[in-house]
Amino acid sequence: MARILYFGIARDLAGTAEDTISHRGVMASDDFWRIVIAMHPQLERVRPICRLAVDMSYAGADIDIREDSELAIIPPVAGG
Amino acid sequence: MIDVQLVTGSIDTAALIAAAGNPDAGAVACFVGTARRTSSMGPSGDVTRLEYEAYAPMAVKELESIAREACERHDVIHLAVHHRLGVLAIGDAAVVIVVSTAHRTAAFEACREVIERIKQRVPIWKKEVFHDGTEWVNAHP
Repeated sequence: MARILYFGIARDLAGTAEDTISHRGVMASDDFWRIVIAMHPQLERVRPICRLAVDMSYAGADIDIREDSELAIIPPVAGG
Repeated sequence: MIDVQLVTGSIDTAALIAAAGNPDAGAVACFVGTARRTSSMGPSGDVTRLEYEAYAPMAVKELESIAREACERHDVIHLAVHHRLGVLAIGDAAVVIVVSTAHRTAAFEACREVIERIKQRVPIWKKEVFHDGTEWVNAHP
């Protein structure tokens, strides 16, 4: 099952560290965000500053969701 | 050689420096990122501790990629990056980068490049904890 992982402030706002997602195939990142925000409307306010990752690589304009895909909502990083 | 790790206990900086030594290395450069008591985001009282978390497998992947790129670009002999996760007290080291090269210019440049790129793209987050609340660093639109 494809999963969405939430980190940092995104996890706090979503109220969960992980969701599953049943959509499959190629879609625009914007459309994926619509799905996420429909599940967790509180994420709308951090959406402009977050990035997406798919299978541990930062996503481009389109993403391809497969059965074992691991998607992640990446708020602004603050390492170091 | 590259040594990239996420750790949960305190980082042994002296050991990392010792491990970077090499008969061909004329320079060993070290950067230590430490937890400080002033908030990154304007005055809100003293930070009492920091809490670091990571998307661990992707953080390791990005750190390794940053390390490899720095090694190739600067002809590095040995590069270590250890990043600590969990709860840090003020003064604790959050990240230690050690680079050894033949000559000093490359060591300074590689060391700097690694910390700058960590701050741009490695999926690690930190929360500042104050007496009266917490804040995720950088997380305001």
